[in-house]
Amino acid sequence: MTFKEFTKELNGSRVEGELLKSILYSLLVSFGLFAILYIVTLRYIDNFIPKYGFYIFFAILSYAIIFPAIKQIRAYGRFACMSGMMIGMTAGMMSGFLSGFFIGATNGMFYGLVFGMAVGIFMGVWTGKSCGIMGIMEGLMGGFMAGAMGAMTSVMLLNDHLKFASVIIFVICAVIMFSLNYMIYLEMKENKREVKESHWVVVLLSFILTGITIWLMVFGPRSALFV
Amino acid sequence: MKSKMKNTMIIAIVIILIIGFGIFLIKDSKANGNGLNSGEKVQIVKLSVENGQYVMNPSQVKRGIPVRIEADVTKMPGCSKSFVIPSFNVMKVFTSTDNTVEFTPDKAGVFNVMCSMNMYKGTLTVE
Repeated sequence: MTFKEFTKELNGSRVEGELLKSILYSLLVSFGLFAILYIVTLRYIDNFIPKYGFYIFFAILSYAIIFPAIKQIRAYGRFACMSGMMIGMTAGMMSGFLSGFFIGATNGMFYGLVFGMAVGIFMGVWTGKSCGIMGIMEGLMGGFMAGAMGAMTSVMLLNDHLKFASVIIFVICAVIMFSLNYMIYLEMKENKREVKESHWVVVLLSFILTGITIWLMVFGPRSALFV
Repeated sequence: MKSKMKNTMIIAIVIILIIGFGIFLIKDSKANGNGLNSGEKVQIVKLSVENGQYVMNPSQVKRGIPVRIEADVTKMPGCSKSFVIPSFNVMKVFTSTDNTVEFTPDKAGVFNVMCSMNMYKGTLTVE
């Protein structure tokens, strides 16, 4: 019954009613930035689409499923410890794993690991601080572990159905992020929204992370395996 | 009712965006190694692993002449079967039934060969 209520709220006036819009804005910004970069510079790179297209596409989709949760978390402000820990860990792990995975697939284990850990820890700490030090610790650990795991997994799968694995991993992460949205709704449905803001967080994060991801994949440093 | 319609529109736009950019961005990646025409002159290199290193015999080949690497998979443990020469875009997972990869070296120098995990290493010299 509650899940039915949640799906109803996706059309409602609470913050859950803005989740779909957040996905749309993230996709518009990311694909828009990609289109501009492609027209200006990327199309002149040999084999650009076959080499990077798949990973850029899924990286953009990954950011679009992660960022709406940040808007939802910011809207409620404070969470109980258990919820905050789960939020910090989920956001840190999913963002760290996915970003590390896609950069690992194009730039190698070291650069994937560093980027994945940076994104994972940043997102984990940022979202985890909604409950205080416990959430921050969870975010730190989740981001750190998942960043390393993501890069390692993609390099290990390089010659073994990496693209199929990417799709499977993306779908699982999407389900986890959707579950996080649902969990936050369940925990906070009796509470009022504390912060009402536009979609600037989603837009800004999408712009920055998509830009860095594309730059790293195409022009960034890479391990010996990818030279 | 109005907001339901609005969300249906948003979902439709999201799906169109994903499908549109997906078709554009997801195209077949490069082939692994270059196949050779039958009857072409080939340099055969035997590949195995000794003391955690790739051993190529001979380890020197000539530029412009196709090379066929024949792997002895019985002497190649674990991830060493996943063989990579980045400089020539060669990536191959050797099995007992598919233990060769062919390519044409188009530049001279000493090139690193490695497994996909970058644990087993070796070099191939192209003259």
